[in-house]
Formats: sequence, C-alpha cells, structure tokens
Amino acid sequence: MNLTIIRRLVQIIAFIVMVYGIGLGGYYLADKFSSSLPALACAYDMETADHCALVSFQHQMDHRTAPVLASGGSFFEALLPTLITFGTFAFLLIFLSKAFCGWICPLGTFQEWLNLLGQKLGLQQTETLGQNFTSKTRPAKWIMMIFLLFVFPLLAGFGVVGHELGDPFCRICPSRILTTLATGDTKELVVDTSTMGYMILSIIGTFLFGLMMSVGMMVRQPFCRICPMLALNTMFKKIGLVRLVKEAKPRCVKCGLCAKACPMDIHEIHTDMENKDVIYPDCTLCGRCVEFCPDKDVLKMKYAFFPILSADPAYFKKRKKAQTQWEKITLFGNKK
Amino acid sequence: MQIKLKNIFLVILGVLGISHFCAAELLWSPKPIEKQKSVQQEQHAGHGQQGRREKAFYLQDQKNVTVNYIDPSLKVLPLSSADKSSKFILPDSGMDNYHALVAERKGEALHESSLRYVYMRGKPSGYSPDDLISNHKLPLEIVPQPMIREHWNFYTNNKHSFQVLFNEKPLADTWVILQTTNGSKFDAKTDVEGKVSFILPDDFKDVKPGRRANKPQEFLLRTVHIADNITYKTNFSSKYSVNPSHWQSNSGGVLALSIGFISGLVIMRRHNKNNPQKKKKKPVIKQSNGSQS
Repeated sequence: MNLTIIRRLVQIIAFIVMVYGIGLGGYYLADKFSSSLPALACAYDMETADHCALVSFQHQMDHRTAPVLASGGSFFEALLPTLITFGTFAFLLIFLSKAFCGWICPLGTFQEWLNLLGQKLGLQQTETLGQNFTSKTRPAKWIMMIFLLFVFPLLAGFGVVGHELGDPFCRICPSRILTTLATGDTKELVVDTSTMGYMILSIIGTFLFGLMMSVGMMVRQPFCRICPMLALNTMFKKIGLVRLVKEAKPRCVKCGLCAKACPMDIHEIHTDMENKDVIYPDCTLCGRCVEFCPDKDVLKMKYAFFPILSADPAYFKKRKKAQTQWEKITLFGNKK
Repeated sequence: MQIKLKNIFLVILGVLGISHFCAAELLWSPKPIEKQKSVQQEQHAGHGQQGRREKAFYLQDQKNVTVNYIDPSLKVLPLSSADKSSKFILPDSGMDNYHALVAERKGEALHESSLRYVYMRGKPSGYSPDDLISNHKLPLEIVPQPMIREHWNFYTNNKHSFQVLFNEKPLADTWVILQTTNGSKFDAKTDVEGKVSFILPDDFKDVKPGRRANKPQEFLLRTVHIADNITYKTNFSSKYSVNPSHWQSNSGGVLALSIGFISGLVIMRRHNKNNPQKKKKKPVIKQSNGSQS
C-alpha cells in the first residue's frame, strides 16, 4: 500500500459521490452540501451530490452583480453573494487545500484514468511537455479564470455581450460532458444550433473534450494545466491545512526525480533550493513528488503540524519497484 | 375487467365535470381563466432583485376554498385573495427555494384539492426542498418524484415520475390523467408503490430554436379516490417546456468530439516525432527562487 493507491481509492469514492451522489443521499443532497465545491463536480449532472463553485460565480456575475450595479446599487450589495461563495469556497479549502484537485475532482480523476489507459494500450507517453511549453501555458488558467468566470458573465449581465457568455466556462468545461455521460445522459454532448454564440461555444466544448481524451492518454493531466479552478484554489492555498514542505539538500541539485514524478510538470519543485513551502500554483497535492524523493525528509506532506508522508529511501525503493512493475503491464502483454 | 375499471374511473371524472381544464375545477394557474387560451410563461424566477418581484397565481372556482402557502421550513401561512378575485399574491417569505401553494375545498361527500410548487427567491432557507415535497399536505396528494431542481424544467419527451398518496400511504392501481394546455391527454395507472410515470408529450407547435423562443405551457395531473363515501379529487399542475433536443444535435456533438479526438492524436504524433524519447539524461538544473505564475 502506498500513497498513490490510497489516493486512487479516495478518488474512486469521491467520483461516485460527486457523479452519482443522489443515489447515496437523495435528490437534494447538493443543497445540504455546499454548492461551492473547489472541484469540477458539474451542476448539469442531475445525479451529483454537489457542484462546483464556478457555476455559482458565473451566475452571480451575470444575474446579480451586473443588474444590481446597473440599477445603481452599492458594490457591497452587488458583490455580497459572490463574497459568500468565496467564503464557503475558502472554508472548504482550509481542510483540503489544493488536494481538492488531486484527490477529489472527478475530471482530474478521469484524466488520470485516461493516462493509465494510454499506458496500458502501449501508447508512447510524454513524460514532460518541457519547461518552455509549460511556462508558456501557465498563464492560461488565470486568463480563463478572469475572463470566463468573471469578465464575460459580468458583461453579459450588463447586456454588452450576448446571454451565451453568461456562463462561458460551463459551456466549454469537459466536466459537463464527462459527468453527464457518466450517468448515461447524452444531453450535454451536443452542438447547440439555437444561436451562433451557443453553436460556437458548444463546438468548442465538445471539441475540447475529444482533444482532452486523446491527449490525456499520452500526457498527464492536460486540462488541469489550464483549469481556472486551479487558479482559484491557488488564491487560498496559504490557508489550507495540507502542506508540502521542502528541506533542500545539496543532493537535490543532481537529482530531479520529484519534478519527473510531478504530473503537472512543476520543475520548480526540483530547482527551488530556498523556499520551504513548495505548494506552487500548479500543484494538485497528489504527493507523488514526496513518494519519489529518495532522500530522507527532504520533501514532506503534512496536515497542519502532523506528518502524512515524508520522503524516505526505503519507501522510495519500494515505490519505484512497484511503479516499474506496474508500467511493465500492458493490455497486449507485459513489457520486458 | 381492467378496461371496465378504467371506464368507470373516466366516467367518474366526466360526471364530476373535469374533462378539460374546465372553469369548474379547483385549479392553480399562472394566468386568469379568461386568458387560459394563451397561457403565458410563469414569470422566470430570475435572480437578485428581479427574482424577488411579486408573484401571483390564479385559482379557478375559489368558492369555499381554503388556501395555504407553505414555506421551505414548513411554516403554513393562510392566504386569501385581497379583492375577492381569483388572484392570490404570494407573500415574500424571505426564503429561497420551493414553496407550496395548496388549495382545498371540503364538502360532505366531495373533497377537492389543487397543489402547485412555486420557486421563490430569497436567502438560503437551510431546509432541503425534499422536506416540503414529502411533507403531508393533503389527504389525496400527487407527489413529484423527484421535484425538478432549480434551473431545470419539466421537459417534453422526458420521463417524469409521481407518487399518489392517500393519507400518506401509497395508492396502488389508481388511474392518473395527464393533460396539457397544448391539447394532449394521457392516462396511466399507479404501481404497487403508488408510482406513475409519464413521458411529457412533444406537443408544442411551431417550435423555434432556443429556450427563450418557446413559451412554456401548463400540464395537469389529476386523480380521484373514493373512501368512506367521500370522493377525493386532487390535481397537480406545473409548467413544462420544449425539449432542447429540438435545436441541439447529438450527432453534431459526436462529430465535434471525434474531430477533437483525432486532432489530439495528430498533435501528439507530431510532438512525439519532434521530441523523440531521449535516453536517460541528467536534468538541467537552474537555481530558482521558486516563483511560478
């Protein structure tokens, strides 16, 4: 038993709850939960037990903030619902921090399954997209967050742009298609021809889902790299109780196994020799860097002051052996 | 035998004069009786200030009727029409989510009732809508199983289930009639759990592309039960909308997904061609202050 196996079990349970939750707790479980979940559990899935905060932010901008401001209301009145959602969001992040991405998010879990499928099909895996490419794509999640969650919905509320842009992120979010398809519902896998705007957004959404599926079989977590949820989680990472701590040693300079293990290509986890807090904006707190660190106590995952996992040579050896054996197994026979 | 029982039931409904959204029936509607022919959209709840505007419903045949308005916390507020018209203005409970509008007329041999759920805007109530939906409100009651969520509608071509309860117990083998303002009429019988399902008919004429271009219409479920020489009549009404599948194409979605999938394969093939897997190489290390965008 290692951390990855535990995480995968948690992911399976979370996936069942997030996608099929009404079977466990009734039709309105989502109302009892939060509706501000820092993970992409989709509100369009009629069997979900909870749904993500991103749909709330977009609707609040479109239906609340803009109309109140347009009618001469105060900023406080206009932004109060959004502040409440931010508050609930931040409250949840205290407990799991960015681990919502790496342990709970159904779309993150699906992408990991896709990559496992790609491995088992024997497809050539791209271990890293390269430092240059990764650095260039990193701002995408912030741009997505600012424009798709706040700016366009606000402009739609003011009537500057069409109503189609009232919830633009949901229109293109792969989780909308994934979670509804997972419940046997095909109503989101569509091209909407009612207006030009809806048609363009629905084509982008379905195209993106297809792209994510094929790329995800060869590259780890492709959509997570541009996901606005990652950016939102980053804003509150300081308050989370889950910590990732690094005590750099000279040997770190020559090693780099942590960066190689990272599914998000965070090279800084390797190159940063100064900071102790190594939860970077792209980190999903999956813990693979700690698992694959061969030096004692260099990397540690903690819950508040309590250690969850510390880098350990003995653990590293077992983990590496298990990984090597796992990678040898394919659907077309074992690799030598 | 089954056909005979059904006929008897339909005769009872006919005798009671409720063959087609008639004025004599106790029934909630979003518009006055005289405007029924062109049932307009129940005001969209909206959000913010718009969502809290006044809402009113009209009760056909309101003689000797008791009307109760139940909020999500199950607090019951008796309602009366201010100007003795059929119009009932719903007060602002300050709570978000479904509220129940219950009309009842109790006679010696006839008990009539009409039930409707209305979504009101306000602060989060802290109560699950399930509490209200499952709460016993009438001796004979049609309970949606489940009630649709916020932002969702009863759609044509979708299967929706209901349960018929008599004194809180499921009523098996009971006919339920579904009628729409578009003129469709169906009936079905409850199972042993008192449950019945209908696929709402795709009966809108001149469907235009887009949700907003097609005004919702009304559907009505009604049933009758006789016990202890009292005839119980009840109905449940709600709006229903055109299924978006009229302007949404699944085959188009599959096509766009397939193009995306193939594009991904092409991109990755090119990427792998330009970046062939290198043999083990020591990573290039650069000192970094750890900043990351």
